[in-house]
Amino acid sequence: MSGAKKIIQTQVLVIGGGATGTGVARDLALRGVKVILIEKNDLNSGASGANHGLLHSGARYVHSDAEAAMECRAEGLILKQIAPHCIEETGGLFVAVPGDDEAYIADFPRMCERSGIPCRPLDLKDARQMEPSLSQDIIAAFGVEDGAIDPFKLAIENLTQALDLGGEYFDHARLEEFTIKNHGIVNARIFNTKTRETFFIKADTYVSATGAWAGQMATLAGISIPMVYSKGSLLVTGKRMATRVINRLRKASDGDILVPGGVVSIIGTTSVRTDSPDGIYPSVEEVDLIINQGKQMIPALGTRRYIRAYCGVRPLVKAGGDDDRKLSRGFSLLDHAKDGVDNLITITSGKLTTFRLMAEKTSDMVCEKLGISSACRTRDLPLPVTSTGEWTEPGVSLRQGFHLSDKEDTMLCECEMVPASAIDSIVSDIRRNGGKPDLLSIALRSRLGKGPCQGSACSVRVLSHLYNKGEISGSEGMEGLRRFLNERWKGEHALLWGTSLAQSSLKEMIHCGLFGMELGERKIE
Amino acid sequence: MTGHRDINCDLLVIGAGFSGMVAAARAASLGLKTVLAGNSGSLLFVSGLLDYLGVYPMDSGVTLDDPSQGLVRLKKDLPGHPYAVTGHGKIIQGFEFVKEILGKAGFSYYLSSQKNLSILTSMGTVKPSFMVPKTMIKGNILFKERKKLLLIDIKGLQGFSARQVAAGLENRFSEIKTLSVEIPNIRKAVPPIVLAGFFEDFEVQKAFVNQVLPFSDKFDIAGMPAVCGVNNSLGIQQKLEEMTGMDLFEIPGIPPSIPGLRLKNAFEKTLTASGVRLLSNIHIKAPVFNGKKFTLTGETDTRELAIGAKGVILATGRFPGGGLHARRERIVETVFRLNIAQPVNRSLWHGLDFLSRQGHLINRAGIETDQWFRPLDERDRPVFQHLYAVGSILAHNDWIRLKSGSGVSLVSACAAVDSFYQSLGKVKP
Amino acid sequence: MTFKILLYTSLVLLGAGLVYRFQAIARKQRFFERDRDTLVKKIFSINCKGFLLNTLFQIKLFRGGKIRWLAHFLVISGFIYLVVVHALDDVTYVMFPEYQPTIDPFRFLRNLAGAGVTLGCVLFLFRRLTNSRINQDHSVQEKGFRFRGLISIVLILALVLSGFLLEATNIMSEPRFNEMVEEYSDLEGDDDLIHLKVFWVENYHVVFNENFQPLAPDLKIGETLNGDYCLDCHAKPDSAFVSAPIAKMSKPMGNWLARARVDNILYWFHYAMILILICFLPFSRMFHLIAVPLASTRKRITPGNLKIEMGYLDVFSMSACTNCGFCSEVCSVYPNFQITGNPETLPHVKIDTVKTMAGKGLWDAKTVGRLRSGNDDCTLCGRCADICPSGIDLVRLWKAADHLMVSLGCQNNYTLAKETTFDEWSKQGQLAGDPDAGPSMDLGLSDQVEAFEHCVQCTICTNACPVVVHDLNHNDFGPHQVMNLLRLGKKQMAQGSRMVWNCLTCYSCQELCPQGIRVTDILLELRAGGQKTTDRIKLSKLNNQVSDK
Repeated sequence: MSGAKKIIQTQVLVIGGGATGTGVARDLALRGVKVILIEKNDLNSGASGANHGLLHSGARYVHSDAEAAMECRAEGLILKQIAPHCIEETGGLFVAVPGDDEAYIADFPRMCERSGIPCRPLDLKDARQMEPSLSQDIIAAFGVEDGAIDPFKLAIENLTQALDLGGEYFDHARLEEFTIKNHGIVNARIFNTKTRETFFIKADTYVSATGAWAGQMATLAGISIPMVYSKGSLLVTGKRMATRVINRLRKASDGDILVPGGVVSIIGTTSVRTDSPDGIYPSVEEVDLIINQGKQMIPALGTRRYIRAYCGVRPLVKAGGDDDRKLSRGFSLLDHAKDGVDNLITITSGKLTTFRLMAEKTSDMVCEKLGISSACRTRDLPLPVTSTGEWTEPGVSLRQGFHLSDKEDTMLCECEMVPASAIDSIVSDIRRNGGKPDLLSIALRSRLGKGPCQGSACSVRVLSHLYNKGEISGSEGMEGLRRFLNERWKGEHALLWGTSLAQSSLKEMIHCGLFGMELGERKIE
Repeated sequence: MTGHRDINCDLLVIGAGFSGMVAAARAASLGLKTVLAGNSGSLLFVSGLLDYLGVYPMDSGVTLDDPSQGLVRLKKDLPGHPYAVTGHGKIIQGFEFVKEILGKAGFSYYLSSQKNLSILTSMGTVKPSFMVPKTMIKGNILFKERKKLLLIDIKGLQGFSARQVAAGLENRFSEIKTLSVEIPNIRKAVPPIVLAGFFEDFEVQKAFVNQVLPFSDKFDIAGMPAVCGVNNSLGIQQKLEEMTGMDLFEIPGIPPSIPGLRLKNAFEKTLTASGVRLLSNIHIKAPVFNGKKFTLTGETDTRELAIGAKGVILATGRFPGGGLHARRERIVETVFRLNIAQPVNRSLWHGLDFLSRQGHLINRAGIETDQWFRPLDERDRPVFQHLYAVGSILAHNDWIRLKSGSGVSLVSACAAVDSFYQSLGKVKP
Repeated sequence: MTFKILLYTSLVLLGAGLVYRFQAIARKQRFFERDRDTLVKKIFSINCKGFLLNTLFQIKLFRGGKIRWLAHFLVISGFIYLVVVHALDDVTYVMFPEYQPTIDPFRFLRNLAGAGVTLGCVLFLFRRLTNSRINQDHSVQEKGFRFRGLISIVLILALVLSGFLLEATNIMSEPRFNEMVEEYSDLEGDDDLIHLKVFWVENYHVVFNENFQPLAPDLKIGETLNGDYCLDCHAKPDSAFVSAPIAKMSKPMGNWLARARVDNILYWFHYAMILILICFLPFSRMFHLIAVPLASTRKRITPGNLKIEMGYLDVFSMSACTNCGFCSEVCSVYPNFQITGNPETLPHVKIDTVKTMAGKGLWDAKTVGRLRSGNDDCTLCGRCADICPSGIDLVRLWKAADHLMVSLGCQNNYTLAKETTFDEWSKQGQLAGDPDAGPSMDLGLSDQVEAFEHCVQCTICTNACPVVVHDLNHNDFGPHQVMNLLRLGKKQMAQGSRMVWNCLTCYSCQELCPQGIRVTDILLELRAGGQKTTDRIKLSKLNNQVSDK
């Protein structure tokens, strides 16, 4: 290696920019710890960005895991207190259809009571009046206190506060290697996949909050964590189907939760074992399974238009590890001192609803290692509202009146109504954090390309807007567009029929038929 | 069936896209009593470039210089492709026919003699095409002569950035300059068709020219978005050239496309003039064949019409046009429920790479026909003697990847109409 | 003498009534913008052709419906005959010296005219009670048009029928017979009288107290006597083809009728009816007898004309409206009425409201709100004025009403919608969506996902829209964005967009939509549905003004 090594010093390096990673970063920053967060892609690119966005009431787990249920209940109440702007308190229903296990239905209220979870039986007629899209055939219905949570906003707001408190964040920063000496990590070699530069981070303690990649990360430190990968796919409907969260009243299975998210709804999931957390995509079979299951509760799911499918991998640590310090069956917090690496901690599994608790426990362990005694403050300190996270929610521009006062503002994304001013503010945020804007990073921070057209025309409009503003130049645009289109395609190809297929044909006509994007040289990453 | 018909004709063309328009024009030119039913709005999706064959083989990833050479290979490799039953001569005749009828309606095209033309797109890429509006042709010469190029975009026109086009051309020109032109009274986004309408106004033309003039000495040629008016685009462009003193060419971009609108207007003008009855905003359904004639129901928002026809041409297009409809399980043809050649299940429809060069199998699904473009049933027999399918609905024809959409449309439309004409026992005048 | 006094009194009352009506109209006129044309210009602008065609031949009525025209023709022609020849028989005696009410053809014609009027009135009644589709509509019914004007019809029927009965009783009446014998014959002996009576019993249907055996010789003598004394001015009653059968049928009651002098009672009743009708004329539906010809003298303005003034005759012509509902049946925006259920959309209801309001000078917020919304639906297509049998220039009226409401501080819905912020709109829209707020429109296109979910956001509709060209620099939604708002479940916001209220309904978008979405229909429906919200906004503005004060 030529020249001086670029080395950045910090107290804690957190690896993984998901809900937990950003949560740990915020928690530590609030305790006055100097923290750096690195993420190999961009925020929430793992399971944190690929879930229902459901704030569990806990009722879901009353049967399988009463402890996790109570944890969800407690954390849900905290999150509603500290981050109300990330949460829509929709309330939820549990409904059963003919053929569902009647013993389970009969047991349900008792199980909820056992875990202290509010649950009230509903008259079937009332339930259908509350949610007119429910099937006429439902045989039981209960009301619970589910909510919808915006994981993107959550991660962005967590990170923003961590940065405000002196933390640092690097995206597209892939951890390549740990240098280990004397039972401890000396430094970590980082490779920036966008700028293709290598640098080093030297920290006192390293936290791996890499979710499904926790096993791979541990391997870099010579440790083995037995992981099981379970892929779960979800579908986004073109229109909000219900005002409340609707759960199927049965043991957890496929296609049994419908969560509203702004103007859309999300139905899922599935559970498919995979060998690796990388290179996954929702398959046609999964899509059909979700729809066929979902339409039993809500018949309209059989005919409605879907705009996107996506999937995530549930990071599960194989049970039977002899001394896993299981704080709860909900998540795994591993101190690798026992494996011979003193300053590495792994936090994985868990649920979005309990991310704060996971961050708290992890930070406690970090502080213990660092000999810091300050207490966790995330339990009551509200999550600040910032402008960075404002464009992630479906239909948000409508609430903002799409900046009606600004006569010069124009709409760039038609489906989700993202105006040029929003793109500009997102771009400047990305720049401020040292990133380089492209379609994907903008899409992550806004609704761009997430409407029914899945980026057919908005991609071109935003691209030319970025060129005009001088934000990108040369062939960056084309490459960014290819990446963006392929990213969209991942979530699109499995549900192309009816109008969606017509729309994707149009997209192909524009991008391949006219622009010939598939031709010519292509840089493969 | 009562036998009552509101409209009687020789030939009913269903679908008012490009192939439907060509078929109706062809039929009218042969003196057939023709009805064209369909929604012509979808023409606003087409770029206005008429391709022959731009890429072959598909995975080569490069564009063809001479389409007729690609045609020879394609015929050998893909016997089911619509081009396989037509020759180079027929295709050229088809292009000439379309050029003539559009020219008559005031929309002038330039038809290449042999080689594909290279047309710059708003993405900064180069698209191979065979017949292009004369307003765009100077962009082709550009690549041969490496002139000094001025790229113009217009404030408020979304999806078109001169800088972006320039970025795509970076290595190919010694000198490129970009310029953003402001049109008076446009402060924010302007829909392209509205902008094109503004360009018919002399004041707007003057404002445009005034901003371009300072550069006319240093640059030889200027590219601009395809918004030179809806009507008389060539005239407006020539006027702008005259006023600026430099060559101009239009650059096609994302829909809604002005050249597409010009095509629609030109076709409708020529069809109306030649006596074709146009039924717009109509949904054709419930075909019945009584052994001699077809009777179909045309449904509008307010009423139903019974249409009788000796022959029917199905030019309903694919999924965006509504000719094909994809259910979750399979693809169906929407009017006659014809047999569709298609992959066995949905997981084969699309590949995992959106921009794969091989394309997606669903784009090859469609109607299989005999050599006269008559749809075949499961046992490979024509479904009806006088039912034809033309255009993008035909199977084994991934026109998006092959860049062959218009060529397939016009050659199948002309061939189908000619064969219907002959089967009526008439001889071409 | 008593009769004369009564007659003159009622004529005076008629005059007073007319004066009252005319000056009431002048009072109404003050509410509108005054017509500043000079008298000369007004005279020259008289529509003679329209007046002649519509007054003499009732040409518009004829075009509108043959039965109604027939009914009008029967009543009017019959009445004219009855008034001129029968009621004003002093004049008739002069014109036809041989005139006698009891000889033909006068008696026959009187019966014919009476029968015609009766038939006409029955047709009126029949149509009013059974056939008036629009007025039977639930929301129009409360206006009570069905029963308005019924009094006039009943009065006329009573008049004519009492005439027939009077004639019938006269025919049968023994006292009348005796009076006539007294007056016109110089019969000496009782025998002759009996002979005559026998003859009259047989041929004139008189009913006498005593019974006669009609013997051929007696009849013969009777006939001779009849020829001598009676026949000159009293023909056989059979030509009274209505009254005579009634008389024949009532024979069994003849003696009782004669004793009770029912003929006298009927006589007074008949006269009373006449007097009542005279007094009542300016205040009843019959006033349109005067108003229609006058209304027909006005030249209609074209929809493009920007006139908002109302001349005296224009205001007067409102009185020519009989709320028949012809206009509403052809109204272009009748479908709006079906959606909103606002009867003020219908021209024949609207005119009534304008009329009453101008008359009272009283504008209550609720009614004005409904009238406002209704009038805003109007596209000024002029079909109502084309068909109006009374020849009212409705287009002018709608424009004037619009101007009037604006001058009273009640803005046009379009202006209002355009000036309202999305926030305010959404707030009021949600309130207006209350189930109590009026008929719901949950079955409309804008509520059916299938109607707009196939939109691919290609923007062709917005590109084709002539409104967008003119509204370019406003921050507003194009049609494709309105469709998208519906997909996003933001119907209230869609309703609040300028696009919805500016739409020209040229159908360019719908014609071009490659996905076959009924864009224009959806926009129209949203506009109709949004009127509840505009009403609410008006109310809240009004309340604000009040609380400001």
